[in-house]
Amino acid sequence: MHEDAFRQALRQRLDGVRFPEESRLQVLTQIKREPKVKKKLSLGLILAFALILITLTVLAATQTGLLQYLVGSPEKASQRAG
Amino acid sequence: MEDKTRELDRLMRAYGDDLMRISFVYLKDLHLAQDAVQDAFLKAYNKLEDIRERDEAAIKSWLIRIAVNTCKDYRRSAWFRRVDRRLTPEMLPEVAAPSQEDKSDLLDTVMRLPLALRQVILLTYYENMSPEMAAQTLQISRASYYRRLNKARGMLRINAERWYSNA
Repeated sequence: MHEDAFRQALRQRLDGVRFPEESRLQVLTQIKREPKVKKKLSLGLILAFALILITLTVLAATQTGLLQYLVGSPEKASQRAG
Repeated sequence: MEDKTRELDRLMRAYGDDLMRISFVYLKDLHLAQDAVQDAFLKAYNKLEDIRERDEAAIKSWLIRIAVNTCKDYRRSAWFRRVDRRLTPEMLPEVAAPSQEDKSDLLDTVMRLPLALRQVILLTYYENMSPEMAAQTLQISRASYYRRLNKARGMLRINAERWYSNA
């Protein structure tokens, strides 16, 4: 019984506190105004890009003879080792 | 209006007042509580997918949790800590219905309780939440919830003896 009286009194006192209509409308306006967030790149996508870049670099180096120039031909390499 | 916006609008109409009361009890400032509730709804909007399958009681608890966390952020701000937060009678909201004079300072008495006890009182006696739901909303154990509730009840019995004895 005591708790009920307390509950009722608290309710009566707090009922005046309300979320105003203009605040609700402000939230809705803000949502509409908010720019679409750009989707972040996923880790998988970043790895895929990195792999493609490495493959292209290696391919370009092989095609232009740059790799052979830097490493040398297998025969020369074995001569140097011997 | 797209579905997500429509859903948020529904939540604001259904639970805006509840969130306002909780934020007010938390922050002791109507305007600040208004800002906090707006922020809470904006946060909720970005997480609406999380509650697709939940029932209304769980949605309400989820929203209250967001509002409480938003209020905590507000309270942590340096500005908030510098401002004098003692409540004066003029700062209390207008009562919806005329009440007896001895009951008019009830809210003031509740507001003087430590924050952790205030929350428990509000969720229990105003929101009529079950102990499980209140504990879950406040992210505390049931044992902590009961401890706080008993302490708050004890303190209110001392401070609010008039209402209890008159009831």
